[in-house]
Amino acid sequence: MLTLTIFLPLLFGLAVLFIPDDNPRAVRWAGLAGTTLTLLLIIILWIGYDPSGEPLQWRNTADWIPGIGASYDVAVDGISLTLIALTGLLFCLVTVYVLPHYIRPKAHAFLFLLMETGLLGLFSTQDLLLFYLFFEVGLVPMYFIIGIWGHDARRYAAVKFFLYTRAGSLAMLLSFLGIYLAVDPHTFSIPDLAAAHPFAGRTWAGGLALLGLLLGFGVKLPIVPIHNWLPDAHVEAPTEGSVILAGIQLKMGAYGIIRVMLPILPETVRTFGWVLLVIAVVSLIYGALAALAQTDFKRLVAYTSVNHMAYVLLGAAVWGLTTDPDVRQLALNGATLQIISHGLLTGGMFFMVGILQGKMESRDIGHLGGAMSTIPLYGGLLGVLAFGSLGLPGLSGFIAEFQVIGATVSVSVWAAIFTIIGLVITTGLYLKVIVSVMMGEPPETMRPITDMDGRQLAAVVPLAGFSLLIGILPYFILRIIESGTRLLAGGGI
Amino acid sequence: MMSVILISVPLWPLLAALLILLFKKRMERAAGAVSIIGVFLSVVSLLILRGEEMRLTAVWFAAGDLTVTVGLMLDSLSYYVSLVVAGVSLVVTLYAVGYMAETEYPQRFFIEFSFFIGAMLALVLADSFLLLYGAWEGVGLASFLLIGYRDREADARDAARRAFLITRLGDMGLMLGWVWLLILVGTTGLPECLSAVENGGIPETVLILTALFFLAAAVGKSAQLPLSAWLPDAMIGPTPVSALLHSATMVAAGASLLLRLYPLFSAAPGMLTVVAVIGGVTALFAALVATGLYDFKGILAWSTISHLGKMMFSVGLAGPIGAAYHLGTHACFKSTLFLTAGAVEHGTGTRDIRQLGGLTRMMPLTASVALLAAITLAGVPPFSGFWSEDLILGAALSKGPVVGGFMVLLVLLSALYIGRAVMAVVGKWPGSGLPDAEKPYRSMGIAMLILGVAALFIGLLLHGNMETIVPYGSKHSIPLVWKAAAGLAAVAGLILGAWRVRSEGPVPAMGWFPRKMSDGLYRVTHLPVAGTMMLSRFLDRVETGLDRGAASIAGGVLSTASGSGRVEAGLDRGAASIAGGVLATASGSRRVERGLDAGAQGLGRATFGTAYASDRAEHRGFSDGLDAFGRSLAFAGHRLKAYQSGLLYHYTLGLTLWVVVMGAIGVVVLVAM
Repeated sequence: MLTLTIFLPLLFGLAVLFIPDDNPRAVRWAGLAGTTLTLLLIIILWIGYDPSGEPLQWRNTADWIPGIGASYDVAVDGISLTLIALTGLLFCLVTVYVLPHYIRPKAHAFLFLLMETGLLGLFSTQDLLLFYLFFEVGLVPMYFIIGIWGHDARRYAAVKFFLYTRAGSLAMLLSFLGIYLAVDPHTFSIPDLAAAHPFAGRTWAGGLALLGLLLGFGVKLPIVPIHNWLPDAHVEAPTEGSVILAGIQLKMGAYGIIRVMLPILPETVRTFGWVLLVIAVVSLIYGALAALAQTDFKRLVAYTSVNHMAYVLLGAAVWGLTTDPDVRQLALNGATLQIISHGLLTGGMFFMVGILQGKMESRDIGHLGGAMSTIPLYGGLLGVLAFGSLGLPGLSGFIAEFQVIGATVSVSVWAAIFTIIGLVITTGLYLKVIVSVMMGEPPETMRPITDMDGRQLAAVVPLAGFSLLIGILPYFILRIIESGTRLLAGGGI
Repeated sequence: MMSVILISVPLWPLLAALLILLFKKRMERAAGAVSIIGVFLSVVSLLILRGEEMRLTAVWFAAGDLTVTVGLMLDSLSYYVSLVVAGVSLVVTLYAVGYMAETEYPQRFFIEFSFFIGAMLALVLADSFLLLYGAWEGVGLASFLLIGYRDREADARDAARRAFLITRLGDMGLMLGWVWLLILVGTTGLPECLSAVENGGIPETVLILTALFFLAAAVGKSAQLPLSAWLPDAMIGPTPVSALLHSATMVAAGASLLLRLYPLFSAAPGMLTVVAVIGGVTALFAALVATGLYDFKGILAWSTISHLGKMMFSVGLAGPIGAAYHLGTHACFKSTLFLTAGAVEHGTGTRDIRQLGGLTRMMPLTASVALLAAITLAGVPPFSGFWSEDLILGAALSKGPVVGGFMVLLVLLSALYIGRAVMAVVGKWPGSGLPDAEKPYRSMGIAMLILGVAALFIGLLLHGNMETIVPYGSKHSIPLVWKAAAGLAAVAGLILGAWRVRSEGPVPAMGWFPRKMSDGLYRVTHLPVAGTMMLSRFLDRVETGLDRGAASIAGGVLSTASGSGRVEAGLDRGAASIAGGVLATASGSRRVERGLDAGAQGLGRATFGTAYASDRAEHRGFSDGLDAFGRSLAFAGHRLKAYQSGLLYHYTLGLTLWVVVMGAIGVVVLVAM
């Protein structure tokens, strides 16, 4: 069942290639059918998941390369299930959004569906080598998406994206090999590795492995100072590419931190917890400040990701620095929910930027204005997403951030205060967006524009709606997340 | 049943907001009525709940052993504060219907206004920190939207932004405080947290730090120093907003938070003193600034800051009863004053006190209500302001006569600025303009009158009941001399302020230095913002630098790649030359071959020659045999030639293939690296 879910998009992707070239509509609808069916399967996985049951459910295993201890092993726990659900949702919405886009649709649809398979596989694999394989399958299509369908400076951005992520994933692969060699018998199986504690008592070897993982996951998260690919990639990517990039691809790093780094290297994370804490806090403030200086709406939103995703690393650092299971649970719940919340809110935000760019033909904040009076639906939705992103209670961002901050304050008051300062700066920059895009007079040069159409609403409203639902009734998702973090919160050191 | 009514108290206005939002296209004028009904139902529900005490809590979610709850609590304090909020809101909403009558598209205003009232009621009734925080941010959001209501004006946008940002800075303190208590106590329930504090279950440093965090929140919302600057700017919002949010209710949230958390503040060593100093300094500072302004609403705004400072001062002096008392009386008289200011602006089109004057004749109702409210604010006995400030004075005196004297000074200053302002607006003075004035709408007039009367007598009504309302602290008895001094200070201040306007016009009552003080405050407030912006622009440049660095790295990689391409080409050439060499060798060996061949032929010929010679010499003896030998030799030479040449050909082919394969591996390795 899980295997089918993972590979269904790929099947559809291959099928799309056989549609005749003169029928782009059929390509688009086939793509939508593929992502929708996948989402339906994911919903079945969600319903069938028992939060009080086994830690790993829906497990499928098969021999892959038995000689070196690598196997095809996929399963879900609470953390991966929520990420899989986010992936399914965002890909489905993206295919809705691109329905009328007819530039080389076959390659476009194929790459997106291939990427979905890679990401779904990544979020469910229990084997490090397979993890690496899916990691690459999830990444490489994005290079082509930026390079082919992007904006003006797309080739530069695509090459930069490729170089950074390649360098990162090779560092990650080296760490994987190091971890593989450190256990006896050698294995790539994540549950076995977590049970074996490969680097217990070997501080510097562990530190080296941690460094590799941090480079690999940190490039994707991203952390300062290896975040520099992100603004260019986001700005140059087409809207649907930015949505997936921010909504899910950054989460590959976040997921790796929570599901690979913490369980396999708990002792090392504990030793170097302060380093992680400092990196997280620096990224948090740096991202907020860098975003504040932007006048390009898309670039601004891109930089906020650096700020938001740093909460995940902060949660991981706090997990390492405390042994209180309650605090750990709070930190991990918050970090995981932040992954989801950022996917919903920032994914939605990139849709909004793309829609506005289509309407006003400008992304410069100074040239926009009056959205609340001229296009009220758009203005209202943008308001919900922006206030959600700045952590207003009632939306998902708050639920995630207060848990992480709460866990942080009990470990280090200073880190919490700096986090709070970052949050205030974030408030300032979202207010800048709200005030200059939503309020005021519409620009004089602007031609009459129409409010969002049904397709655009169908792409954004579910994101805002889920954010609101999580903000008001978080338990439906927290109980799933908690079933995944409970083990990690209690165990480890 | 009662619990349902309690839940409905904050829900009615929220429901009204939702109704207007859903049917906004179909209701233009009905929006105001829906708002009024919403608040009215809240007031009715509260009146039904009179005398009840209850707690309603539900677990929202849990993480491990940490329980996050939501809930409402009805006790005497929350009942009192929520009644003040709902009562003032009802009257101001009534006024707003008139005030907004000529505005296009008033629905948005009433949505936000009703939402604010609901959130504010939730805030004062909250039983859990989480709900408190949610409502706290909710009223902040409403305040932002309402200040920015006239969003086409750049000033309104800036003021809205500043208000939200500065208050949010404080709000973050609230969040830090409660999440810390959540970790330590294990729940967000307010009573549980407070009893944990009282049982000494929390380390002292944590106690001090959390108290500081909560104080930051109160300072932000109540516009205390140094986070005051947003409140006077907020006056750009519609007047009902100023009357309700920025004088009576939202800004009082800070003071009421301190009242709620009084046990925590009194348990944290030294924190009450900090609160008192902040409150006292703010009260003095703001009162001084108010003496020098010309904008009627601006004076009222700084006056609000000053009075909120008095409430904090009172809390800090271990007099929470006086603070709660003053919270109620101040809400009434200050919102009355704002309503009259709105009526004056509505009628005359200005609120600059230099252009006003003589309104007793043009707008007699407005003028007299303003006058009465001013007297109440000044603290003239036996009206409301006197009674509540009396309790604050008592708390101050308990700390010594100097503190008491300071309080009397504050009373004098209050009376001075309000005497000046009201005299300049309603009285006749040299050069006073007599603008054309229109009558305010009926609903505005009724609202002013109701609130004005309430303002006069709420003090007397509450007098003697406050101890039962506030469960902490005790009342202090005050010597009659001090009572008289306070009363005299109020009267004297009023007369001084009014007399000065009468003789010299509305010049600043205390000279220009208060004005400089407020300018200085704005600059100080602006400093961190400017610093942050500078830092962010600097980082942007760093980013571009990084970008260039990355580009040069990428360039380096590319040039390395092209360099390695050149290496490749060189290798290629080398391989080619090796191959060439091999080929040359091969062709050389071919020539050798040929030579050998020639040699063999020569040998053959020589043999033949010898044969012929011996034939000639021996003449037929061995001729046939030698002939056969010669032929066989020639044959062997031919065979040898073919064999040797074939071997070399194959060898050359193998060498070339090897070079190609090695080259390909090299390319693969280079690419992979």
